[in-house]
Amino acid sequence: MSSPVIKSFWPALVLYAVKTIAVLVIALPLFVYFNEAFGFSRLADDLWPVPGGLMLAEFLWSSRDLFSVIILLSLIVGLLYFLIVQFIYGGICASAFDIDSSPKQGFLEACGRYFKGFIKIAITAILPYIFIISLGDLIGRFLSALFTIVLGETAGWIVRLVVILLAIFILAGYLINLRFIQIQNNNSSLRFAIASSKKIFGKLKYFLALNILTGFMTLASMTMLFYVMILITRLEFGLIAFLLMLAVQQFMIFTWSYFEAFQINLNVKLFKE
Amino acid sequence: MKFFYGFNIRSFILHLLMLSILILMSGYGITVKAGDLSSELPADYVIDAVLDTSSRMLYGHESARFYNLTNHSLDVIIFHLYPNAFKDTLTLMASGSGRIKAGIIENPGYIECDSITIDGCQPDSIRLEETLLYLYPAKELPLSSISEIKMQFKIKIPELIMRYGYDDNGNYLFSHWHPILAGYQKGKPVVFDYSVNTEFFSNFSNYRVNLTLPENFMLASTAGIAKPDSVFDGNAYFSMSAEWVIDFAFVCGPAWTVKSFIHDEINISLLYLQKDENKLIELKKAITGSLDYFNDKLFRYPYTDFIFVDFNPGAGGMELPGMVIMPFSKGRRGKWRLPMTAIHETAHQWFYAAIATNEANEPWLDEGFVSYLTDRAMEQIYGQATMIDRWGVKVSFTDFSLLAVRLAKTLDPLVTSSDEFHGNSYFLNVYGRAAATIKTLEGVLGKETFDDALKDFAINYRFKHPDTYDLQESFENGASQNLEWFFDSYIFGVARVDYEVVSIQSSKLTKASSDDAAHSEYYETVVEVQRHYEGILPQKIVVGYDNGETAGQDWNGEEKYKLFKFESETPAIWAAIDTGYCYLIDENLANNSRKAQPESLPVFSFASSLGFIMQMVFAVLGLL
Repeated sequence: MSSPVIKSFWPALVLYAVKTIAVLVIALPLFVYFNEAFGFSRLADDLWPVPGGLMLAEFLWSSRDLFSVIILLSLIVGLLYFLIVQFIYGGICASAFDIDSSPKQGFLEACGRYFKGFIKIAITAILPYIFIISLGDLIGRFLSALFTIVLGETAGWIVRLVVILLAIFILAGYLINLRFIQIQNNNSSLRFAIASSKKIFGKLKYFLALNILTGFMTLASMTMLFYVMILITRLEFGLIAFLLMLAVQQFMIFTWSYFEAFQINLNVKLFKE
Repeated sequence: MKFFYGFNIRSFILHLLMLSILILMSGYGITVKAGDLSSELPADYVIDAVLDTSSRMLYGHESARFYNLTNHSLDVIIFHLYPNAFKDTLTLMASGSGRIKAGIIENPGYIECDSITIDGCQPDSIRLEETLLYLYPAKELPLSSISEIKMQFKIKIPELIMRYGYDDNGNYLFSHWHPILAGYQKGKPVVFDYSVNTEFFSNFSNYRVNLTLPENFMLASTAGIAKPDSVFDGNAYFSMSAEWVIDFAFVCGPAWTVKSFIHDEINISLLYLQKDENKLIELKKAITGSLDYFNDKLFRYPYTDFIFVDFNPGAGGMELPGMVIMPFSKGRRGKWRLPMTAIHETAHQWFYAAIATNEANEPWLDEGFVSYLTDRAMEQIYGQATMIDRWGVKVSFTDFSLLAVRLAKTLDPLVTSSDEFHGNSYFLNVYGRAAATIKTLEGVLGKETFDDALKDFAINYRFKHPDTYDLQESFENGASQNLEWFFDSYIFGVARVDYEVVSIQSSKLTKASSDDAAHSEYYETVVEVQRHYEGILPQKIVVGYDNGETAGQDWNGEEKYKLFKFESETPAIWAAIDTGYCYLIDENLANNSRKAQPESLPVFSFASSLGFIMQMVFAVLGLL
């Protein structure tokens, strides 16, 4: 069995590709419209690194009719994305579990096999997410207030955000484990998965360590890349600045996808050790 | 006497005694300090009032002197009774807002007047119409005569609604609270019912106000921070006077701490709640910076005291003569809300308090200039005019004005009464579109000429009540040019504007030199400009070259379509009108410039950044 570090690479590519394709579907008509409306205008020079106020006001006004179309398109694409990702998770989780040794054929087959159960988990997860985000926010506010007093307002905001994101990562880890239970028992019942998840609590420290570690690694990587992005915005606009920005932005998305896959490959250890 | 004191007989007798003494004093020649009344200062008031916090009532006596500034005798004296706007749900005020209506149902407010006399006689008749009180004297008031009107009043104070009432901290705000003589503008009375969008109009007056408050109360007013003359039996007795003010406003309550300082000989006091103590440095910078700026651009601050009160008036901030009421805490609009509101309300000390335009009939005159000047002052103080600052995107009020022009749809002239704007477009027109129109006028005149004309207007109309015609005349004199076309089109009228640079084409040509032997090559750039609507603005067509040089031609902007030719050694790469983005009433700024070749990189960069944000949203969605 290869290490999660290596094993997470190709699922990350798949997850990244899905995100990128989904966004291209939405962004391409937007780009065509932008180019038509602002491609010849000097006002567009005020788009880098963030749009100026006048440009933003002009953009909001001139594209007001486009908003409803974009929102509708985003909802449709968002729904499709949600279904496709749940489908793909079947293959990624099965692969993490080493269920199939023939990657290509086995991957798609596994996607289809676990789709039903995974969808149940994902839909049901909405409520716990609302709860955990609220809880994270509550704790985050408390800690934020403390950090604000000591280190200032920005530190307070960062602490609040970090607490919320860590709460999300812990819940995401639990959901991954539910999926593994379904795979392990070849049973798509959500109730069964939740009932069987008691054994995770037996290894609670290990579970928390794995998922908080993943959360911290993700946040640290994203923060570093974010600061690189900030540095790039200080460059004078041109092809190089644009390409650098595009590369960092896409690397951030890939990094996030990588840690999504990495979290899956780490959590499988709870079942194998 | 209808006053009701249903408690503490000792306190009642004391109040009664104090009130009686003050009434007697006012009847025996105690007058305000200023000299006789005139057409510019046509009223003065002596008011004695007692605040009863247990019943939320204010009991008082008013002696008002009124100078007949019209050119004829008068058979009626009109007072505004603003507190009656909160009397019941049938008032014009209640019909304008569900929130206010709910507030009135919960806790109404009103004013009742009694024992009214005019020059010692009872009026022939009295007519009360919602917020207006008409008194018909037994004999007409001759031209240039002074009449003295006395009355007792009691005010039921509502929970804070629109500049008036008490809040949860037990603090009170009183503006336009007592019976106020209807103001006159150009010899005509300005009477209106008080509504959600209606602000006030009254003439400059002198005040002497005596207040009895609970002894733990602090008092700040148009006259400054007040110290009690005496404290007795749980009550504090205050006397204050103010001159040349359009209202006597005051706040009182137990919850504030005061920090005072002097800036440029102006006594500035900040009444703050303890939780907002950390905002004082920021606030002080905004206040002193804007005072300096407006002192320089307009005229010197007109009063000796300037007070900021940490109080939520139910709007972002509220201007009162010599006072600003605003919450000091940070709002949803982030770090710039506090300085921006402070500067905006400070600007009102000129455009409202000292240049007292008619806020009911021409609300654009004060709010428009104040909104425009707020951005200018912020640029001066902070190097940037920012209203919203989020994720690196900074939006100024000027940027908002651009949207306001389009959202307001140019349905109403700017000179429209506050209640007559279509739909809910009062705010868009009076603040945003008005500021955009003033900025456009700045573009037409040039900044220096505009500033000179504005200063002339401000100085000429200090302590006066100018209208839009006065503004036009003053600007025409100040700028030495006829501006009738501008005012008729964009202020009294509803002209729409959109100029477009339709195309830019450079061609290489050859021209014979003088000796007919040699030929020189040059580029001719043809720029095609189109005017889409009826609105006309003078334009400068500018073309830019690769080496950074530019060339320009002036155009009166009148033709619907015009070609402009430029000769140069290199082809032009762009053409533009209004390069400084001053003409904010132009409905499409994107088409005000055109590059010879489309440049997709900035657009693609923006689109890819939007795509990145969407990818991040999908990434989080993927966690499900």
